[in-house]
Amino acid sequence: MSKIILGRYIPGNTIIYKMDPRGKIMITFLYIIVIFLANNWLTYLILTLFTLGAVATTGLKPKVYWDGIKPLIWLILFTSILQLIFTSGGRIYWQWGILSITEYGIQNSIYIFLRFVMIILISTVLTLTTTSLQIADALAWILNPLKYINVPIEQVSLVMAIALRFVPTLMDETVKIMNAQKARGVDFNSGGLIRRAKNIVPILVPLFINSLTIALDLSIAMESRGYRENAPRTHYRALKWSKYDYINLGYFVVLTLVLLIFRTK
Amino acid sequence: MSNDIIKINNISYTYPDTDNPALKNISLNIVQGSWTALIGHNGSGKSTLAKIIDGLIIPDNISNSSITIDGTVMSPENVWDIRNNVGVVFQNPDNQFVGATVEDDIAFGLENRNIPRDEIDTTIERVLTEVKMLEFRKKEPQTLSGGQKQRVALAGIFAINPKIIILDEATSMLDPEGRSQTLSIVKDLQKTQGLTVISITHDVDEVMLADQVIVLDDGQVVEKGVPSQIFNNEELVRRTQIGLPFIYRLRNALIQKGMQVPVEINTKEKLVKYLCQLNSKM
Repeated sequence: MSKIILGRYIPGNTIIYKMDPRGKIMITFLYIIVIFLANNWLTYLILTLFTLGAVATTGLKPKVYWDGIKPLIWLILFTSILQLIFTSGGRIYWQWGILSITEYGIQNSIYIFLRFVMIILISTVLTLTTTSLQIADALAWILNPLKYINVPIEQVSLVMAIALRFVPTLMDETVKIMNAQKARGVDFNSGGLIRRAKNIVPILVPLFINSLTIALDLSIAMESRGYRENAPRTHYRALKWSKYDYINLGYFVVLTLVLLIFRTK
Repeated sequence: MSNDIIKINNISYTYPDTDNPALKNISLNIVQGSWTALIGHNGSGKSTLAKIIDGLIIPDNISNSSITIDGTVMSPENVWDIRNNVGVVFQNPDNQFVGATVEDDIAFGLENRNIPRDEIDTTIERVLTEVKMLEFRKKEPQTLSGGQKQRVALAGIFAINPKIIILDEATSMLDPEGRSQTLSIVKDLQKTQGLTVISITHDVDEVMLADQVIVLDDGQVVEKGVPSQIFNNEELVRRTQIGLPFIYRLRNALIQKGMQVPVEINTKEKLVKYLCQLNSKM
C-alpha cells in the first residue's frame, strides 16, 4: 500500500524548493513542449545537460529518479526498439524482411529514448520538490481565468485541497479495513484474477460507506464553522513570486533560445 | 432571567424518513458563563439538540417554538450571525479537519468570515498558544494524535471568539490523557473568558465539571440539576443508564458494606476527610 504514493514529495531546501509552484508547473509543461524543438545531436546534448542541471538542483539521490523511470522502462524500451527496427534510411547495417537496422533507425531510437527519459525526469523534478497542496494551489491559480466562463474555481480549488487532505486519511482507512478483513481470513495475495477481484469487494464497500460518512461529518463541521457556498472568502495560503522564480524563468528562456539557434532547419 | 444566553422554547424535531421525533417539546435555559452537561443514553437526542442550537437543522414547528441565542431569535436570515457566536467541536477529530495543515485548518473559519491575512496570522498564533500546539503549526493532520487534532479543532473555534462552545462528544474518541488535556483547556477558558460551555457526553468525569446537568431521555428533558443531585437519584441513574463517578461508586460500595456515608459526601476531598474522621474515631 505504501508503494502507491500520490505526488511523491521529498522535503528538502535547495533553491528549487523555494520556487513558486505556479512557475514550476508552467515551465515543466513548456519544457516538455520545447523538448520537441531538438532535432540534432547538438540540441539533444544541450537539452540533456539542461535537464541534468535541473535534476542536480534538487540535490536528491539518483536512486529516486531511477524509481521514477522504472515503471515506464518497458514502454521506453518498446518504443525505442520499434523505432530502431522500423525506421528506414541511411546506411543499412542489418536486414530481415521488413525489419532493418539503419543509420536513421539508430539515431531515432536514441532520440526517442532521450526524449522519454527527459520528460520523465523533468516531471519527477516537479513532483519531488512540490507538495501536492502547492500543486493544487498553483493549478487553482492557473485555472483562475476560467471563472469568466462560469467555472466555479473557488469551489474547485476547495475540492482539490480537501481531496488532497483526505488522501492519507483514506489510505489509513484502507489499510485498517484490509487488516480487519485479513484477520477474518480474506487472502488478498492469492487466487486467480476473478477471486482477487472478488476480494476487493470487502474493502471497497466499507471504504465507500466511510467516505460518505466523512463527507457528511465534514460538511456539517464546515457549515458550523461558517462556510457558505458562493460567499466571498479570504485566502490564508498565498503563493509568492520570488527571485528564484526569475532564475527558473531565465533558465528556461536561455534553453529555448539555445535550442532555436542550434536546431537544424 | 436576563443572563440566559440560550433560551429554547418548545422545540421538537423529527428526522426525515422517521415517525418518532428525536426531540419532543424541549424547553430549557442556559445561563451565560455556565458549564452545562447534556447526558442521556444513545439515541436520546443530545446531538440533535446541539445541531439545533447551531442552526444546522431547523425544528419542526417553527411557528410556536423559538430559539434565542444571546438575545437574537434564530431565523433563517440571521443563522450565520448566530453561528459566529457558537462553536461546535464534533466527535470524530478526523472528520472535522478541513485544512491540509494545522494552520490552514484554523484559518478556515477566519477565511469564511473574510478576515484579512495578517490578522489571521496573529490569531493563529494566539489560539495555538492557548491550546499549546504552536510548534505543530505546519504539521499535517495525519501526523497528529487524536487529542492533538481535537485541540486544533478547539483552536479553530477559539479563533472566531464564540460566546458558546458546544462539545458534541468531543472527548469520546480520545485516550484519558487527551481527554483531560482538552477538558482542562476548555475549563480554563470558561473561567477566564466567561465562555458558555455545553458538553454532550457519556463521560461521568466530564459531567462532574458541570454547573448544571440536563438529562435527556427519548427526546425529552427528564431531569435538570447540579451533578450531585443527578447522581444521587438512584432511580434516574438506573433508568437512563448513566454511569457513576468513582466517588459515588465507592460510596455505594461502602454503604453496601454497612457504613452510613451521608448523601452530602460528593467530592473526593469530602470523602477523604470523612473517612479520616471516621478512622480517628475508631
